[in-house]
Amino acid sequence: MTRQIRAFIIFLTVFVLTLAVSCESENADNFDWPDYDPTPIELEIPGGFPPVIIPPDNPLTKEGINLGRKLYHDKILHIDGLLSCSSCHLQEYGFTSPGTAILPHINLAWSRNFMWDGKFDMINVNLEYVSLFEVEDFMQTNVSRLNEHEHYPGLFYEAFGVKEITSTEIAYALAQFMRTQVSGNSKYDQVLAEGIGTPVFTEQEMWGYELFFSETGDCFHCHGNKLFTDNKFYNIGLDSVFEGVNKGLYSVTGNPADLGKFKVPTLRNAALRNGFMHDGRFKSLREVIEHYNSGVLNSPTLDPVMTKPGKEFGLGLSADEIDALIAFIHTLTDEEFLSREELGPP
Amino acid sequence: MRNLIIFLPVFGLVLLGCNSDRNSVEPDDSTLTVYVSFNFDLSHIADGTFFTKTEAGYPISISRLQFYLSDWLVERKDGSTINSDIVSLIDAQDEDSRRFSLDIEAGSDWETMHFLIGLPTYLNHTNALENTLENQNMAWPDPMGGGYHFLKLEGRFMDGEDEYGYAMHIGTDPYVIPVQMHLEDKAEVISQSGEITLEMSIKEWFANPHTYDFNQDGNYSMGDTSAMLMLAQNGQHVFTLKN
Repeated sequence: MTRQIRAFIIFLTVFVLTLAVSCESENADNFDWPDYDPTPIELEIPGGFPPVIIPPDNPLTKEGINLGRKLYHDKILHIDGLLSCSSCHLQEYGFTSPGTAILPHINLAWSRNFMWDGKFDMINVNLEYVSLFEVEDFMQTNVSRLNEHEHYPGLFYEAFGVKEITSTEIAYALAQFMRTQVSGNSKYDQVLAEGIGTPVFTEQEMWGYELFFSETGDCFHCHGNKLFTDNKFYNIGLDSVFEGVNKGLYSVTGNPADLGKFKVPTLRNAALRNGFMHDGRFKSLREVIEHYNSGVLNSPTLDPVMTKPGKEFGLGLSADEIDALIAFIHTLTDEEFLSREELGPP
Repeated sequence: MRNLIIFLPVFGLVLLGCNSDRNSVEPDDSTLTVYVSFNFDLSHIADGTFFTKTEAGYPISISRLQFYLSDWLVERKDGSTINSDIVSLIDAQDEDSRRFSLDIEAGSDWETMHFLIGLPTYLNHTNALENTLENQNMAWPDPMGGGYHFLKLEGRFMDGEDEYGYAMHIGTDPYVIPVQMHLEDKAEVISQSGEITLEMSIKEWFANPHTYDFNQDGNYSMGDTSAMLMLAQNGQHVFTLKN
């Protein structure tokens, strides 16, 4: 036997022993494992929404979604046990917090870029990737606490067939649950469905709808279509000098052309919020529209759509038009979503 | 542990097996591939550089360039025609979107190729196309007629020392842009390669037959019928054949 073969056998033995020891904890040996036979679930997609791309390595299952729901509402994820996801993402406010700039967890199944400044705008970044960041960096989850928990090891086994929980399975379960936070049943959606017994817009809401989807209000270029966001980044003239958090996408890319650009948030359930923009500077929808109406500041990266002839740096809407726009945005509130039992604490 | 020792080599063999099968699907080379290129360095879209001047003399940058190509029709030398219903949304910043296949086979007897920048009437109404993450911001709102934006060309221009934005948006049926390309002696080359390269000249959008002046003709075209008409007529000349 040559020296190289002996060395290879020693290496293989050490490798296998290390793997065996690290893969099976004491807890795993003593646990009464349930069956691993997850039930596939098909996401219910509201009419007109784009198709959802589910990563092949994390298909939706009943067990995975239920586990994600439990984790989402459990402070065990936080290193000090102080926070759960739902501490900041409150269902009754459309999964955000009042008075803050926290982006809502709404229709993230269709999200491409994440975070206001595009912290996660890389190609192929998905909910799994972002959730892993939340678990490892934001919550700094102590995974051993879950491994030693009375119930979690069995739930993870049912969902993923693993006996040793890692950050990856936690992130995958959260991602599965967050894909079910689908909001597409607002009055607006019901009106567009045009079925028997569906509601109709009031005169003011209709006027607001027409303003929203025309050059007068010009909201649709960024907030158009069913998602009410195009997932892209724009400078909408909040500042003309960019310092600190106001640098936006630039702080991630370092590209001067990205100064002051932020992700477009969805307007679904926006009427429930009282903190708007990346820094929560506006406290009401009226303040937001007033910004577009007369407060837009010019800078080299201001989006071209914001500079229409005759309306340079302001829409010039009347008070009644602003009221109508606000009335329309209220029709995007999805009451069923806000109280859907499957999204609340288990 | 014995199981693991057996499992590892088997697992290794499985991995090797997977590797040899990867990309084993044969590309379909029987249909014509269209490649859309541009006459400028596309990195300028991200960096905001004022990289060229319009015919009217304004230095411009580009921050967005998206458009539909559709309604393909080829005339053969014997007068017969073939067509393709393939609709493609081109985003200059998305390399994948710039290469697509038509469901027709290239022939050396081709004489003329016709297509639209935009969409034919039967597809230019709300929800005629499946909503996707790529096309969702191309919708032309119902209160403005419905359908889709045919073109979004946006950026900034310099007027003396001052800088302004421009947004050239075209939509609605009367402003769809018919393009005609005479293949002449290139039909043989196209037939052999199975690929046709169409290059878009940005300057042509503002040059021929109308010298488009942002200050006189508007720096924002959506809903401005005279601006859209000028751009649509200029748009008939933006492509050249590069085979």
